[in-house]
Amino acid sequence: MDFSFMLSIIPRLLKATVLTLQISCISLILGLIFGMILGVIRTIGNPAAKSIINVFVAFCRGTPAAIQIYATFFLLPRFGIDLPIFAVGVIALTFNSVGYQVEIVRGALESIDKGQIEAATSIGMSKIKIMRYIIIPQSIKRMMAPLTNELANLIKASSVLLIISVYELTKAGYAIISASFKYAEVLIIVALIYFVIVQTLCKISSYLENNLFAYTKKTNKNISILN
Amino acid sequence: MMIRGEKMSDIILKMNNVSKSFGDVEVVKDFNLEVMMGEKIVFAGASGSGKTTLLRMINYLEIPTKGKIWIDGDYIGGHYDEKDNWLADTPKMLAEKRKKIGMVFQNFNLFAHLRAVDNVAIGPVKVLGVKKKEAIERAEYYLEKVHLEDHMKKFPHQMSGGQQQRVAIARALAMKPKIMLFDEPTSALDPKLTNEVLEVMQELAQENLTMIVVTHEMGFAKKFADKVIYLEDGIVIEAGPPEQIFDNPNSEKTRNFLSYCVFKEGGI
Repeated sequence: MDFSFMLSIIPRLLKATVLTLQISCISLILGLIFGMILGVIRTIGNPAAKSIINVFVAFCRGTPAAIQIYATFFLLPRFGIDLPIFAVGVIALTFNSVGYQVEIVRGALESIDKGQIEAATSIGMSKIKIMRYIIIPQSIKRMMAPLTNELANLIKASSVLLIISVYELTKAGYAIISASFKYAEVLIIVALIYFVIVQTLCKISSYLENNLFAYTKKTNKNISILN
Repeated sequence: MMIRGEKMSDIILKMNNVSKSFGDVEVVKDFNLEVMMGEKIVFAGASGSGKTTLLRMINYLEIPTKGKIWIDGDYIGGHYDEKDNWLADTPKMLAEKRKKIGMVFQNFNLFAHLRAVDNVAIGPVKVLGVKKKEAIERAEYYLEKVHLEDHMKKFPHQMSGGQQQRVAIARALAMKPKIMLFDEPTSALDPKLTNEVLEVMQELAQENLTMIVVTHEMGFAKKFADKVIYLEDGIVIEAGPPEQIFDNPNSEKTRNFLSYCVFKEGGI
């Protein structure tokens, strides 16, 4: 094992890691925007809209990331849409992610206690207002853990973008391998970088989940539960 | 003590031949009721007698299978057009009508992410369009009314059940409803907390607010109600002033039910 070689390639790989993170995070956010819209419609929309979304979700989840990436790469130019490779990567991964995110959003929205919805209904709130002021604010906390999972998946799925030559972390690793033939050394470092990123993001997310939402804190030092 | 006799000329709620079935089971059968402004009504009966369903139909959380409910000038759930055709209400119309009806639930159903004061203020702000500052003042007023002036900034999970239920009462009152519905408001509470909530309700009864209460607290019903309606299997067995129902029931069934009830002396 050539340790000094392993150390020497880290800066190069980290540069590519920036691209991995950019693509994954942008895809997550775009996926969340669409996932939120579709998830809300999926929850309170009319039956026709629900079925269309179900088909879409089945399609997103039922096809492999590699196929979705190739499809985006080859099909978009056919419709005269010529995008930079970065954008193609983002579109493919967003499509890959949105199916899962619709389900994450729906699950969180449906988990809010029905009694609160009845109470909101009884004070004359419309479905949309109930969604906006009662359900969505409470479901954000419940979405955080599964969304973190989804981000971890996206970061790893972004490695498949190497098939269309997006110069992300795995692609950068392969480039080093093809010049040095040191498979083990490079792949170990690449895997370690993925591992550290995902672990860090999970820790940040669970910290935020436990500290961002005052209304669920177990103890509030200034206020006794008993008085 | 009660408003019996005063302002009783105005009918605020009419239920005409209201029935409700869940599948094959008819839980409410041809129910009729007229409630006067300011009147206090108690629905009594064993679990499964249909009293909660009855209450929930008044604000259309449960849709009657048959019959019509009229509240303060409007039918709920539908309306007549110029040609006298019956049309179902749009969600918007229904929401508009529900503003007049306050409801308090067995499980409090407070909005878990909002402090007590915001739980009360959110309706006025988001539904009635009251300015935020004004709504907060209104919320504080009603929270004081239910004796929670020291707990306004707490989240629901930081409060006892009795406190939560009183926030829920304030939340309903802040909408300035014409009629208040209470669905077993103390069933989830221990005797001490039950007393807290019943005291608040008794205080509200002094004002000219129409209240319909489903409860198992017969001691409270006796003091509080102008009229007690005893139900069994979705049918009214006996209805009348509490003196009749509790001291001199006409029906064997009522007597039987009352023999299981505990009446606390002195307390509510």
